Amino acid sequence: MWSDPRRAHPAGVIVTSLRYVGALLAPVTGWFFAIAAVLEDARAAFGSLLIVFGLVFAGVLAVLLAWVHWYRFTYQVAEDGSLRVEHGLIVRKSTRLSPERVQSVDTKANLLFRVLGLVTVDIHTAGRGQEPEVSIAAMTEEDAHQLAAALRPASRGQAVTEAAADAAEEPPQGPRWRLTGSELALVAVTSSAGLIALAALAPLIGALVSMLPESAFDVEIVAPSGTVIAAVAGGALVLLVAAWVVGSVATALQFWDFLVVRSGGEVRVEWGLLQRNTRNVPLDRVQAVRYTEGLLRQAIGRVTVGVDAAGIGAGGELGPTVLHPLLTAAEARRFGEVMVQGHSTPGIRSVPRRALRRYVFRSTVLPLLPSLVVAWFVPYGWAALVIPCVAAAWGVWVYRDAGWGVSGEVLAIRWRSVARTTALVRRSRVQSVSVSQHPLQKIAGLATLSVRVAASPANATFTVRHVDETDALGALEWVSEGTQRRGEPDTGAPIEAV
Amino acid sequence: MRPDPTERIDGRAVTVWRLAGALGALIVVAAAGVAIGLSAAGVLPAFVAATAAAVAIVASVLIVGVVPKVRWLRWRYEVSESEVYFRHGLIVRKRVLIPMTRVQHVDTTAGPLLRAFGLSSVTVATAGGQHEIPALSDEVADRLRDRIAALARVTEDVV
Repeated sequence: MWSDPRRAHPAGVIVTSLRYVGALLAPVTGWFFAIAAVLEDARAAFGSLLIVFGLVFAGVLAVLLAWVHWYRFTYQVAEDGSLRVEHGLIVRKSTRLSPERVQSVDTKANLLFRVLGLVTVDIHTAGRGQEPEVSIAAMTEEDAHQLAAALRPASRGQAVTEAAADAAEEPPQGPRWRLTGSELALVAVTSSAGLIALAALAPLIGALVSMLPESAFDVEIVAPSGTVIAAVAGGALVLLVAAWVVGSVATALQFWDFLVVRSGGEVRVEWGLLQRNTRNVPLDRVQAVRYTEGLLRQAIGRVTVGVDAAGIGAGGELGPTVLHPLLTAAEARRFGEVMVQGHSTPGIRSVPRRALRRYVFRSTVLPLLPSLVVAWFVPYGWAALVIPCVAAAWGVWVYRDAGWGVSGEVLAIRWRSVARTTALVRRSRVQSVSVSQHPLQKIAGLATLSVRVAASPANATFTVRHVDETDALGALEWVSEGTQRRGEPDTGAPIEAV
Repeated sequence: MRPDPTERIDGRAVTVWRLAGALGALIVVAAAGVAIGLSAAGVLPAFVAATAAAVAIVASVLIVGVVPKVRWLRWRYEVSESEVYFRHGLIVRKRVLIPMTRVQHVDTTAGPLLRAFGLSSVTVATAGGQHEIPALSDEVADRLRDRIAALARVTEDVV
């Protein structure tokens, strides 16, 4: 292993300067534009020359700063095995990162980097949320491999240094899944990415429509109403299809040549066409396993498997780290047992029948009032009553999917927001468990059970509403029992080397 | 069924919460006063003033008289060697259990109001979030903090 301080590949300067140009362009040219505007009256030609100069200046400054950043940025693996990063020209910063704190090591490579055989390495710890603790742009692939190996604590794998260095050359062993072409196509067309993007764009579309001149609407009002409805419906349909196509293509690019491999105590995921990414997640960092069934994927009986780990996951480009986007239920179960060891799915117990009306009430109450108002005051408004009916049916569906189960060391919680999610948490990974009851629940003997795990805050809590009170307290007791015999730390099912 | 946690929080919590509630009540009463004034001036109908007065009275009695006491009655906690367990909640009653091995750090904090009464609250942080035990006497809070910290230190498990 190299213990001397190293610089990243000079090609990193290009990428960094592009980033700096983006940041500098607006303020720097803004200044020159302002100066030019002041001088404009006197000498117009000189003013525009200044603007051009401003652009060039921003570019040169960006390259210079990027070069300084590259020149001052060194990394090394110290004697004690910790990673040491030094950077900064004026404020000098030195980071030391011990392997025990590493949650995952990611690499990403855009087209330029791939041609040059370089990667950007992101090292995540539990403390930093989505931001990587250390990000090293433009390492050679070989260096990146060695670094990843060095950051794997000896306690986890085998005798690390040489074994891992060998692993760089040998094709990885162990269970592996690769997405085939037809599977990729299925993943793409069942993706809801486009529709989610459309929902995000909806306010923008609304704003655009409101910006249309009044006359645009006059035409529609004059036209026979059937034509208007057809035009609106047609427009909406085109928009939906377009969003779906764009989303599918984006998803296909993202999941291109998706590969997941387990080697030793780690799972490595690789994905992406334009930008190739890898992510190494040590199995002993896995906080929870999730099986997510989006509406479209559930319709074709497929499940997306992901893992939660502190410092990586939710909010990122893949949500919780996706280990496989398209498995059948049976395959998914096997995946939880083989790939992420010790996560076999317990049988799921549904919430009791008396919870049904609560779920229906919950989904119906919000849309009900506006629909009633519309039904009462608007001609043909009764059609709006379809909405609360659909909401009620949705409530029944949400009720049917809600449930939980315990077996051995694993707790499962299943719920539906839009997609149906089953989260598996090992007992030793429970950060806290809570059981809450409002008065009506108490009368009915129901309670809400939630479990917190150490993952990104927005997704750190798994909740199932209206489970049987005794069951919920049983789950609390199950966690409590786990804490009693904590003499030896729970290592879970032994992770055998493969 | 698991018995309720044994320990209560400090009795002075009731007084602190009453004072804090009184500040809130003051705002409600002031708003009601404005409504009454406006109706006396003939801007608002009388029933608005009457409703405002009634709401102000009921709300004040609740947040100064009833809520602090009930909240105190409902707050229970217990720290054993292996877990922190508490039960609280005015309307929604909640039981929370934190395995000791998952505790990352423990703090005591006290704002000016709590300090005036010699009280502190203890915050137990895990990698999944924070949980607070409000209003313990300074000595109890310090002892509890040190005890949890000592018990939590046993583990070498990271996250």
